[in-house]
Amino acid sequence: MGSTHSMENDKIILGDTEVLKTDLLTLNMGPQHPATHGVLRVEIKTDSEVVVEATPHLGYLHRCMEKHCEHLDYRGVIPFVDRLDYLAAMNMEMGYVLAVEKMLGTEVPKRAWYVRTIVLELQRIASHLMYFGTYAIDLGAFSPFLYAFQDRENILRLFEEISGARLLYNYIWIGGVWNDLNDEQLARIKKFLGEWEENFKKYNALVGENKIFIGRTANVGVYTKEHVEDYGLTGPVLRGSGIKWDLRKDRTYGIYDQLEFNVPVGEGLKGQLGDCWDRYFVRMQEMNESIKIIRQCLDGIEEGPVMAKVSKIIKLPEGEIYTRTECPRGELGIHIISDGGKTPYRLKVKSPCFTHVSSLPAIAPGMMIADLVASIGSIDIVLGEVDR
Amino acid sequence: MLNSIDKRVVELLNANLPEAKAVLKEVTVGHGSVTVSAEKILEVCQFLKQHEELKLRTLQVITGTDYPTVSEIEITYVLCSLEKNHELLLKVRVPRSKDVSDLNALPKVPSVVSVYAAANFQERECYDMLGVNFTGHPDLRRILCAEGWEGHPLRKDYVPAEKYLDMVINPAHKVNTEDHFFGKKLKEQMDNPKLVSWSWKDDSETTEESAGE
Amino acid sequence: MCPFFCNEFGAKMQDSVVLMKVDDFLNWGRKNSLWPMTFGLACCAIEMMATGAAKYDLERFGCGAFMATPRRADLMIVAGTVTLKMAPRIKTLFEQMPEPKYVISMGSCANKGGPYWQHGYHVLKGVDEIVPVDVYVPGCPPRPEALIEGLMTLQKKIANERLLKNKWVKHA
Repeated sequence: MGSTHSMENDKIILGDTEVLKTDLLTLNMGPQHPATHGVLRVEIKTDSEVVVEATPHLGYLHRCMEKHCEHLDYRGVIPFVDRLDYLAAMNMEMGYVLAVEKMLGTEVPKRAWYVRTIVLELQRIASHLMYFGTYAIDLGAFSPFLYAFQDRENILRLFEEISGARLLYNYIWIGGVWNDLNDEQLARIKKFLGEWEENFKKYNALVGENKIFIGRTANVGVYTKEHVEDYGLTGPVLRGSGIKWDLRKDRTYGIYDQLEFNVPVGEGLKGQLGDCWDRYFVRMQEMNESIKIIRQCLDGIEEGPVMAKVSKIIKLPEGEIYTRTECPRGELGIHIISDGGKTPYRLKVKSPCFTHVSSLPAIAPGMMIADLVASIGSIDIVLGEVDR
Repeated sequence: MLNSIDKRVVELLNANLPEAKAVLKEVTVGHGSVTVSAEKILEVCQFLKQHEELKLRTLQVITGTDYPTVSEIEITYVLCSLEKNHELLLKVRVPRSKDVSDLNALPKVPSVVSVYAAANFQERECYDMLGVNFTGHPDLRRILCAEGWEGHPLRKDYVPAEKYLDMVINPAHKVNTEDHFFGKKLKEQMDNPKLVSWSWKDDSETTEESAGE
Repeated sequence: MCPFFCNEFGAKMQDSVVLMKVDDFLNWGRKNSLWPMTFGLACCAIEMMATGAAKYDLERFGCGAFMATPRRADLMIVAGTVTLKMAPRIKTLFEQMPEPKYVISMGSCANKGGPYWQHGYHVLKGVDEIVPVDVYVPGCPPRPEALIEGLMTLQKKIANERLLKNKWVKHA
């Protein structure tokens, strides 16, 4: 009773007697793990429950996409780009198609841009709903997962009607989109938006304002402004740390410059600025902003074709291009080097989740294993994108 | 290109770091770039990061491309600045080595991990895919390919292995070339081949017709 | 009607006694409570999760309890691309599952390598190179209804098994 114990040089000293010699325990989280969102392996060295070092190991889903695309022509790459971040397939396609269109100088019709924006923002909502559901499961709550998937089913049903597939669409083509939205589908989207307000309040009350959720996520996994700069973090992780930067506003593409929406930023409402709760807050607010954007698009959509006239064999001029687009997980960078032929000479995908995973070793020391699970969930990684 | 700072970067580098031998590449379509010498990449990055006018404090990605015809590997660093809202494609070129067996045989580039922490994983990927040795990297090992992998896949002369451990990578009974080219065969058999639209297999078409028919 | 039920006692018991083969009875119990292991690798995992969610409920087939540990699971649904780095781990997990165990190969990638069959140097062309597969579900990704059909095919397969003649009982 009343003993002091200190850790020095791996020994526990109780009072005057040297009692135990301890070591760090090396644990393996993954690759098969219910809470790592895919095949990520994190090797943790822990001192009882406190993590001392965490090393992520990647490559368990390396599908050789970049090498594969060197053998495919520019249109054939689109299904492979889909399968990178499979939860935000439309945004991936948009990033790639934007790069090709910039090099070609294609004039995309106005209606195609409206349809693209509607579809992109719906995909953003679907992706954030997925985050909401799986994050709640990570922290132990099961019902939000079912609510989120029910809403997602509405969006996926619409995507299935317009593109033919539920998850991986191959819908945004070079020069526009391949199928049009008819009036009945537009009316259905409007109805979905109408039901959103109530759903959002329900989700916030169930999870966001929940005492246990706040206890698990506030002051956990804090990314400071230095982390953001050093590691090149983007997307909701960047905005959760208080920096107002959104590629749709600052490096605008498409018709985003004609639409009015805010950029939600973390404010440190429940704890330190840049913690997991802030990132959750940013993603929930982003869904609201997406609703605003879709409403404006529905009001402003014009009649017209949805596909520009593009040559049958697409050959990019010699040179290279690097395009940046805002995806639900961060900033997607597509780097294409072309030698004038039918296939890309080099296609490099800068995946936002790859850089986010590389920042895990920086915030892991000092947190408990349960906090590590909460942090990994809050940066919302998708391994298809990380490993390509 | 919009927001292009390449010219300004070359001016500043030639004024302050002439040994980096910065060369500008200006283009009308796509992105221009600045090429510097490989040995001085660390000093160049330090200069670009702390320069008041440029403030290129974020490293987005490090990619590599293999050019076997000129026997070089080109490594591209994409730096960007959130405050000033601009980006830069910085390139270095190193001679390509055919021998990839040993770490010392690979072309060497100084690592920029001390300047940009994001470079850690990016350089490991470049090493894994292209076989470039980043000297000074704290932990240079393969990141994407499996343990014990031989060869660097994104090189143009990479020959995929036959087996890994005891698994055959491309078993003959799983490769279905019969069905894969049936579009081409169908086109050869039909009276009106234009009814079959398999645009990516058309090596014989030289005229560019517009789509949307 | 069986003469056993012709007396009074028999009449009371006829609603509480069921006559069936031991095989059928055990198979009925086993096929209606297959517990899958959470083994989502890539995009097909999302469709597996959607199948487990409210709209296409997997719970009503008895597969509601997704076990994270292989030691308690009977069914491994390999959903997603199998890469060479992941393959030894899949084999280990399969060996850790207690028998009787089944494997459903879900999706094009797990069946034969999927869209990466041609130039995928790091992709295993089908999970049946390392584990024995019972049911293949095609699709990229397969719809939830397709996965449920695959599950029902597996249930039919289990219903036709004869435990006493089967290899597991022989070993015991």
